Amino acid sequence: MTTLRSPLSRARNHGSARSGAHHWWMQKLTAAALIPLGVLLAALLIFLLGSDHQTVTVWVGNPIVAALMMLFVGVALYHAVLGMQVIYEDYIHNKWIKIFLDVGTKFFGFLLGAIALFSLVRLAFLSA
Amino acid sequence: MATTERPMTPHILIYRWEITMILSTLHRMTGICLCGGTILLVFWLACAALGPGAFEVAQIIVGHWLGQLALWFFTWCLFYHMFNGIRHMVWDVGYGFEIQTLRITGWLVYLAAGGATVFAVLLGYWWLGWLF
Repeated sequence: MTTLRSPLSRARNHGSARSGAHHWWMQKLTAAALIPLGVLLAALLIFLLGSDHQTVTVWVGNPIVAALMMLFVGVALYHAVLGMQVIYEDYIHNKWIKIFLDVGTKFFGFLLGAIALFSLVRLAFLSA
Repeated sequence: MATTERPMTPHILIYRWEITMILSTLHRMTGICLCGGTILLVFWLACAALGPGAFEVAQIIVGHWLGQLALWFFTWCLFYHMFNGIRHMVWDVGYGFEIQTLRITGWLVYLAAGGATVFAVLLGYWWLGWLF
């Protein structure tokens, strides 16, 4: 069939041509990793309930615990940022508000990651 | 034209509420709440790293009954999001789409999340020595 419309105009507005599949895959990958990491975190926090600063420093500063905690915070923040992005894409219809929230969430996620990373390193040195 | 207005779904104000809709909504809501839980975790870590004085403040906040309530709530959010996330992964590999299966796995998620939360809370209070 002959048409005067260009291929681009036919493709436009029919869906995303960005990186949806990679986004989806990373969401699943981080989700899978968060199952064991989340259970370990819950167990550690229950174990540390009511502990004083010294005990928390020694346990959280332990190399294995600190490394797993870094992994948990990093993976959880990645997962959270992707999840929030999907929520904004679904419910925020104003383009500029959507971009503002998405970028803001990403910056805030990196800020939290930096604070957590530095705190864990400091606890590791304090406990050494 | 590709730009014509297409019908949008879901019409949540028109549909009769189904367990699957509640499960799906809760998955997103618990996800948002867990962002708050992560902020609290990072705050607690930062206080621990700052030293005994700051850690004292964090422990007072977390130890207050409101803080404890928040911890219970985040525990439930974590387990709910985790179990329903596993349900999502089963769909991703192509199983469990029959209506009856969806309802059964939905109830299983409720049960598992509730059970795991009660277990974690009881374990925590037992460990603290507040229970027998």
